[in-house]
This record gives sequence, C-alpha cells and structure tokens, in this order.
Amino acid sequence: MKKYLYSLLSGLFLYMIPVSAFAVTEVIWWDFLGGGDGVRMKKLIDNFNSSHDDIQINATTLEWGVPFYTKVQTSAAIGEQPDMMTYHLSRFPLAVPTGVLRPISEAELASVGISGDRFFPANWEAANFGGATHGVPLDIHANVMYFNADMLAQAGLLDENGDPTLLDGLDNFMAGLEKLDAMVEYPIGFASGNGGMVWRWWYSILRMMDGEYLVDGKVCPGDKCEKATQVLADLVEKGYMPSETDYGSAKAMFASGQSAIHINGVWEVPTWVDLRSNNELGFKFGVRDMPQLFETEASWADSHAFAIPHSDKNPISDEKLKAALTVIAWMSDNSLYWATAGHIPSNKHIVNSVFYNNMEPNAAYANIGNNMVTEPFSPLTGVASPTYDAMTNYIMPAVNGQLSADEAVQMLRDDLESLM
Amino acid sequence: MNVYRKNIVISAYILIFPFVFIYCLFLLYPTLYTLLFSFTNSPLIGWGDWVGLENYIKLWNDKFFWKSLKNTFVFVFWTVIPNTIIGLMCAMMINRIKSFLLSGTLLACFFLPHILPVTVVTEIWGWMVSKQFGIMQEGLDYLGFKRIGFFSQRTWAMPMVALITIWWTVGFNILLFIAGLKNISPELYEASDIEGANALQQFKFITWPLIWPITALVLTLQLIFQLKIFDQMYLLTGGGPFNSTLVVLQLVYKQGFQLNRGGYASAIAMVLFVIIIIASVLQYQVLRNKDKD
Repeated sequence: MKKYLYSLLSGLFLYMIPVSAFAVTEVIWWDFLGGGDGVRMKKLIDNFNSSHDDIQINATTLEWGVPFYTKVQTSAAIGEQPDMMTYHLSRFPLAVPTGVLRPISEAELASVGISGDRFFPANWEAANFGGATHGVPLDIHANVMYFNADMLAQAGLLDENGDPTLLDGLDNFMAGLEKLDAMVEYPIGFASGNGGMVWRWWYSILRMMDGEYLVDGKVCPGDKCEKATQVLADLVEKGYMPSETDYGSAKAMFASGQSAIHINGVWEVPTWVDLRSNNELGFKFGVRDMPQLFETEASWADSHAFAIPHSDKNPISDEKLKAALTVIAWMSDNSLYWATAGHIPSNKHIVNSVFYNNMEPNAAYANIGNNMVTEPFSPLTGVASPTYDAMTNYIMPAVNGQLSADEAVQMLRDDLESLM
Repeated sequence: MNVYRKNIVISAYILIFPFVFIYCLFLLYPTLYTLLFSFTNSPLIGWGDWVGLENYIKLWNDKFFWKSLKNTFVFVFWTVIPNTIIGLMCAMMINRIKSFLLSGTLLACFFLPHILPVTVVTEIWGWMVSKQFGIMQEGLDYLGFKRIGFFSQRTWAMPMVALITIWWTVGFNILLFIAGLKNISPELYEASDIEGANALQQFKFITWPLIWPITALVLTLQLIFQLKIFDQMYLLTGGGPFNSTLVVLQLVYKQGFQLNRGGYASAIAMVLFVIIIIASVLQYQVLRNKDKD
C-alpha cells in the first residue's frame, strides 16, 4: 500500500512540474558574441532572467561569421530556428532577399514601446532594408586606434591634454611612426594577416580619400582603392607594422609593449580595461578615433542588431514573439551596460545620457557617431560576405608585399564583378 | 530445398535491408537531389526554376572553376604519392622492429595525429608557424633565415597545407601497409637470405611486388580523399593568397553558402563527383593491370 502511495505522490509531483513551468515563456537566443563583449552580454542576459519571472532567455553562443549565418538559414528551413538572434546590419542586404528575417510590424514594435525615433537615423534606415523593419539595432561598432600612452609620451607624441599628436594627416602620421620606430620593433601592432581587419582599416582609408567601393555595379571605380592599398603596404614595407600577423598576435604585441599603437574595433575595449584593472597591462592605454590620414574623417562601422528568424515551416507563435520583443526592448533600454563592451549603443537616449558621457574610455571616441562609414548596401559586402574573402585573397597579400597594389585591386575587381 | 532457398533469400534481404535503407536515404537520395538541383537556379534552401544546362555552361566559362580544379590537382600531386611513399617507409621501419613495445609505441605515435579533429590539427600548426610567435619561426631565426608567412605566401601555402595533411593522415596508411607486410611470408626473406640477396634486392623482388595490392588501394583511397580537400584550406588559407589554394569544394561552399546559389553549387559538386569517380576507377584499373603483368 505504501508503495502505491509513493508512486502516486511521485506521479503527482512529476505532473506538477510542467504546470508550474507553464507560466514561463522560454526565449531561445542565439548570438555570435564570443569575445570580451560576450562576457558582458551574458551578464545582461542573467540580469534579464533574474528580473523576469514570466520570460527566461536560453542563450547559446555560436561561431561568428559564415558558420553562424549558415546555421541560422538551415535551421529556419527545417523549423528549428531560435526565437531571436543577433545579426549584423551590414548583412541585411544578403539576408532579407532569402526571407530568413521576419519583418516586425510597427504595431508589434509599439506593443513593447519601441519606435524608430529612438535610434540613430542611419542605423534605423539600415534596419529597415527591404521596405520593412527586419531587426532592431543594438549598437554601433567601429574601428579605433588604441595607444600606449607611456610610450607616446616618451616619444613626445602627446600634447598637454594627453591627446596623441600624430593623428592628423598621412605625413604627420608617418613622422610620428618614425619616432616610435626607434623605440619599438613595430610602432603599430596590426593584424595584417587577417582579412577582416585589413578590410576595416582599408575601407576607412578609402573613405578618408572620399573614394568609393561599389558604385552602379562597378567595384573600385577610379584609383583610390589602389592608393588605400599602397598606404597600408608602405606601413609594412617601412617596417612600421609587422607582416602576415594574425589577430591574436597583434593584440599580444600591443599588450606586451612590443608595439605602441593598435588598430582594432571598439569591441577590444573590455580586453584592455580588464587587463588594466587586473594590473596585467604594464602601461596606461588610450583610445581615439582612427588617425585621419586624408581630407575626410572616416571610420569603418557596422551594427549588431536583434532579429527574429522566419520559418515557413514553424513560424514563431504570438506568445514567443511577444516574449522575444520584450527581451529586445529590455536590451535596448539597458544598453548602457553594453557600452562597457566598447560598443556605442544605438539607442540615442542612452548615448545622450549623462552616464554615458562620463564613461571611460568610451567618451574619448564618442565622435565616431558622426564620422562612421558603413559598408555599401550590397550582397557583396557585409560580415562574412565575398568582400571579406576578397580582402584575404587579394588586398592582404598586397599589403604584405607579395603583389603590387594595382594587380591586387584589379584581381579584386575581376572577382567581385564576376559575382554580380 | 525450395523452401530452404526461399528462407535464405528472405533472411538475406532482411540482413541487407538496414544498410540499403541507410545508403539510399543518406547517400543515393541526396545525390539524386543534388543532380536535380544542378539544373535549377535554386537558392541554398528550397527549390528554384528549371534552367536546363545553364549552370553547366556557366561553369565551363567560369575561370575560378578551372583555377580551383587545377589547384585541387596540384594538391593531389603534393599529397597522394608522398603520403603513400612515407607511409610505406614508416611501415617497413616499424615492421623490422622486433620489440613489440617499441613498435607499438612508434605506431601509436604515428597514428596519434590521425585521431585528432581537423580543427585541432590546424590550430596546432597555426600556432607553430605563426609569424610573430610561432616556434618554427624561432627555428628559422636561429638558422639565420628570414621569417616565412607559411600560409600567406604563394610559394609556401600549398606545400605547407600538403605537409600538414600528410602529417595528419599518414598513420592510417602505415596501418594498412603494416597489415600488408605482416601477410608476406617470412620464409621468402629467409630463402632469399640464403641465396645471398641484399636488402635492396629483397625490397625490389619480394616486398614491392607482394605489397602492391595494398599500395594500389592506398593510392586510390588517397586520390579520393585528397580530391575532396576542403577543411584544411578553409581553416588555414581561406583559398588565398590570390586564389593559389582555392580548391573545388571551396568554390562550392562559396557559391552555395556565401552567395546562396544552391543550383550552381550543386552543378560544381556534380562535376567534382564525376571527376572523382572517373579518376579513381581509372587509377585503380591501371594499377590493378600492372599487378597482372
């Protein structure tokens, strides 16, 4: 008799679990944030989960780039897609025609208090590629220059305010590097062996010259792409920056004082902040906008956005949609913390707040909002696009002195124009 | 008698059913699907319109396809024969060792890389040859050479990937060769010893002809494996510098996954499929005929 009672009780207990769990909506979340910023995002997710009883985020971090976007597409095709995901705005031109992004109506956005006017206009326009809102911008991330303040001071390259003096004009920049070259092996620690990194700096330089990358089905009209390539190739050739260096090595060179300047994205801010606060970085570091080598200020930029994948087989339920949008709105409202990952929040109200303007070191590059240049709207550009491959394939070898700038850009044109 | 035969036939069908079912579901069905796909302008996921031979005509005129085909064969050249020769040499060496412990340890050492996933293999080598911090660069410094970007210089990229591939896969060939060598009767060697044959003669007249069926098998398997090269290129060179390591499957990946052109990618895949079938059947027949001479 006792035995039956036990099994009855345990049966009852098992029955109760789904009942008590029923009130909670689980939001399946996929992202590609594996770096220092990923740690911050996990904190934000934890904060969300602990402050919400009715919605719980179940997050998975996947491999950045083509693997992520391929997985999203294939999973949506069989109805196993997540409820929400991170997505690069630069990739919307490639993604929207495939139908993998679910359009979000104005009413749906309004139901959680989101409207377009809270975002920077260019950002919101990019999120509306294809005539409907396909995602909600979270941040803007751009290229910046990190510098070893101790070393620059020693070389006499800091003014009385602590601002680097080598940022203005190519000749001035080169003269500064020459001074640093006497002190360190390589003045600039740059990942010259990473196609994505080369693209971001190369595109910034191109836009500083007011050059165009894609116009009316033409790749690199004029000769400015050649010039931009030559600028980077000269830096390697003069020994101001190491050749064929991978991403991790470039960071290590800067962290260990083997180079005085590091060109990278804002997403590496947490790396230096954390190292410094753990007393593991043996020098004072600073961040500024990219050195302005030509007439126009420009810094390559892209945005992370949240999107809801669409599946014909298994469209998202109303309940899940509401929950996912609630998460997205909460993340946007709380993106001040996301700024500690180096990114500039897309939410204007956050950027205009007192808290943000007192944030270090973010305030030092707040100007990027004004001089950022996004990639052209095209299926040929954007994260993990053919442009990234072409950079690895042609421009990077030219930067490393294996190919002339003219040859490299011509190969780039031939390749990309054949894909149009 | 008849009932007995019938039973045999039925149980035979039952026994081969799981294999045939899985073979059809996971091999035949996708292959036929890919063939159909290659006549359409489908995206990566879902169907497109029937375009007939358009993809194949486009392929014929695609210089990147020809380039990738050439590179694939260059890679085959760098790997297939060296991998077989090195495999045979190592197997003969291990086979001569009398101590079971020592030969077992050596075999394990050679086989160890083979059990590593390709990502681990490429990471290890990536670290070892990293231009700034790689241990191999320190060696070059010590010898007074300039540092080399092994994966980013045109001269080095393809041979380097081939070297890593050999390091990674040679263990399997050694295993096959050792099995073959163990099958050669020791009496043959003893008899030739008595007749005064030296080691070279023993190899030429005993080992080489008797191991030939295994060699033919290894060569054919290698050809098939290496024509399907993708992972190492994707992880180490990305096809660069300037397409010098772009291989056929990478083009399939690029067209299919990156540019969302499932139809065209399928056409490329079908062509590679046919090339592999022709090359391997041809090679195996030629090598087998040599056996009969």
